[in-house]
Amino acid sequence: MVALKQAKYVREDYADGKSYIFYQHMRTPGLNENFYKTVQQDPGIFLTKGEVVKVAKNGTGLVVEADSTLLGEKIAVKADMVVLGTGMVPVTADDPVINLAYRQGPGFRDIGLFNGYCDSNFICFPYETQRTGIYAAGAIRRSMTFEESVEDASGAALKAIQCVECSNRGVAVHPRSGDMTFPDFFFQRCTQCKRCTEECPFGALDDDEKGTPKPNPTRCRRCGTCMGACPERIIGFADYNIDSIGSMVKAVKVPSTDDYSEPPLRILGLVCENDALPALDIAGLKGLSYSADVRLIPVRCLGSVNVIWIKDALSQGMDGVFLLGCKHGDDYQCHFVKGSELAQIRMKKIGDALASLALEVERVAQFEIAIDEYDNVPKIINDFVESVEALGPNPFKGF
Amino acid sequence: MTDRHMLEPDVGFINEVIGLGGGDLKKCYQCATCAVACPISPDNRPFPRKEMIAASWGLKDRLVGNGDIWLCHNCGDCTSLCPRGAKPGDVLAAVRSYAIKEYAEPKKLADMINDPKKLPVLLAIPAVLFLVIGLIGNLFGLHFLDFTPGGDAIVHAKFIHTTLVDIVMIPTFFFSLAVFGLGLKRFAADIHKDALANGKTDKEKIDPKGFVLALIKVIPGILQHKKFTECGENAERATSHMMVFFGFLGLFVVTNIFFVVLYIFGIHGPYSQLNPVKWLGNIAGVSLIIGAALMIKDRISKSDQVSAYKDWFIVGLALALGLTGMLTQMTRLGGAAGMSYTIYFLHLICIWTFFICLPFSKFGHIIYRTVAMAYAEYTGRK
Repeated sequence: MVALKQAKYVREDYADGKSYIFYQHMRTPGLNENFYKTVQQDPGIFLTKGEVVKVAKNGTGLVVEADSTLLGEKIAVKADMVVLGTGMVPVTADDPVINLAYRQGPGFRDIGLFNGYCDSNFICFPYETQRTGIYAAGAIRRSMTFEESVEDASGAALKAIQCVECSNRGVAVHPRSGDMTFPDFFFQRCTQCKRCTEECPFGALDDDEKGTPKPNPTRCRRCGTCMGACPERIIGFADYNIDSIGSMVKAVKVPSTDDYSEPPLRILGLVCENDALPALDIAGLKGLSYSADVRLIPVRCLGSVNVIWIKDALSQGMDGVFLLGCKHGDDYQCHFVKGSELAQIRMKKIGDALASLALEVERVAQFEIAIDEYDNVPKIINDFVESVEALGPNPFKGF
Repeated sequence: MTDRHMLEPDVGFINEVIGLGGGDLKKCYQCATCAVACPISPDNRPFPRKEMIAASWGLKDRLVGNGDIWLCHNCGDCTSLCPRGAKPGDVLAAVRSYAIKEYAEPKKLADMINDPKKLPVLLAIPAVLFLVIGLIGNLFGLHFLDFTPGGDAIVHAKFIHTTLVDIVMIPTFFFSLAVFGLGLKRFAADIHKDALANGKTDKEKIDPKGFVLALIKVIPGILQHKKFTECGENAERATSHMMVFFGFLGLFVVTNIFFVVLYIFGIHGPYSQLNPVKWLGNIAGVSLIIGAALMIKDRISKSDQVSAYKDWFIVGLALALGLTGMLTQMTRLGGAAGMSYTIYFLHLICIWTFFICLPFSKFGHIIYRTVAMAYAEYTGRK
């Protein structure tokens, strides 16, 4: 927008002046769109999306070369002056500013998605950062004008009020608002592998010099990522732990030759309760159906899925296990930022373990789904069931 | 660097196109709705999207010599669907108008014809020509002008001698043809160069025979106004355009018959009202008047279409030609001598203006569009 203003200055000062603007994004939020339209109407202002590749000397002037322009070709224009318009940079980009005593670093966590802006761009709940109790507003969240920042701050203040209220009552804040449990550690068996401290999205676990985790319960959002990460399975919540879900898995009856001459398959689905489970709910309300061989167990987040549950399921004779969770990547939808991504990494590793058991890696799969993709769910499940059918029954059945 | 183009936008060109009715061209943000919506645009490098960016960047060379601007029939589908109201149809019309001026020499005359302020001067030229040449003829006893033509019947030739009319008209007509010829030579070379540069043709050279064959192939389509009927938004324009087009064609034929009959058989007008040539003339005249009136009505009622001086000029002139011609005849038959002679004089002024304006005004589309369409047919651009 500033580029437009400067271009207008050139045109106002020189009747025969020309201004060129090569942009990647033209950002004129709100009513500023009208300013953009006015400037665009000036016969001497030339706008194009484009990638400037070179600025070279040309006698006393300069030549600017640009690729990928709206003119559909590589172009060059003569110029007397070239101005590089840079974008807004948040104050936290170079200096953490908030200086937190977190093991994961003093600043907001950089998850590499927001060009240095603070990590508070969760798709469903802005302001929320990965530092519990700290709500970002204004230009450290994204480039904003004064007016927008003021408005933004109101939103962040409301989030802060919720946080204070939750703390008063001693319960968790968003997204598991009201949860009263904490992760318990059975420290006698801790091997100090640091996986929980590394993987906790909210930095709730610091550690001592030996690497023993030091929980900070007030930072915890109860996602259970630590529980999914722990190879010793010593982390759990009073109402959600390795044993509770493991018991649910064991309670799933696997059809055997005792009851059937050709027993049907039994497939386990571990389903994220935030998006995937509601999607299945909607599919159910819509009367969509999927294979009856599937049994579903909801989990807090795919990040909390411990691979032992999958091993249990397979050794029990189930023919396949799938994880149904949120989209990850650039436009991630995970309530806990990285849960489904972490699960994906763990699933890759489980492949080796399965291979050593002479089980096909295809028996375990992970699918990404958004809450509104209920109409896709049956197909995803049925396709997986079919692929498992093709592999044949689990050879461990009946042991 | 071979595929990099140094651009030097011509702000003067942009301003001129804006003045010619393309006032919204800079609003374009290249969404290409227009190129998709256009019912007559070819699949390979369709228009008018690329023409819009070239216009807003003032790239005169890419537009003036671009055959595609003539394939456009200003249906208006693009204009009505444009999300930004950039009116691509009107922009192309303005660019065409600019191109006509560009190919017509001398430039002074072109500027005069396209400037509303100079209209009185333009109309005064034929009046002065008739009077001066007529009076000089009178000095030599040639009876070119007779301000008191007597006799029982009204015979316009007594007032302004047919020889005087032809002395003024015929050179003007051939002058216009020559201007067209010169412009066309550059035009054909330019559109071919543009087509080669942009991969719109695989033919290296224009083969005259093939081109003439293509021309013959497109003419039935033009006569039937086929492209017009493909239009969505402005489809009804085909009727009025057809009436004006065939009106002019009929009058051209009638004028030629008169000319041949007068100079070869020595028979003077006016013809009897029962003469089939007279019928043709009258039908053509009425068709011209109704067609031109419809066009004017259309332009007045359409608020979303830009009508610039260039548009009013030609529809106005067409109507004036038809009206003065028809009124001359009616007053003659009605015996209103003074009025008839005056209107006849006005009619002659209109005819001269029409002849001189052919290559300089929007009338030029008769030639340029036909050639561009024939070229497109020849190169297989569909």
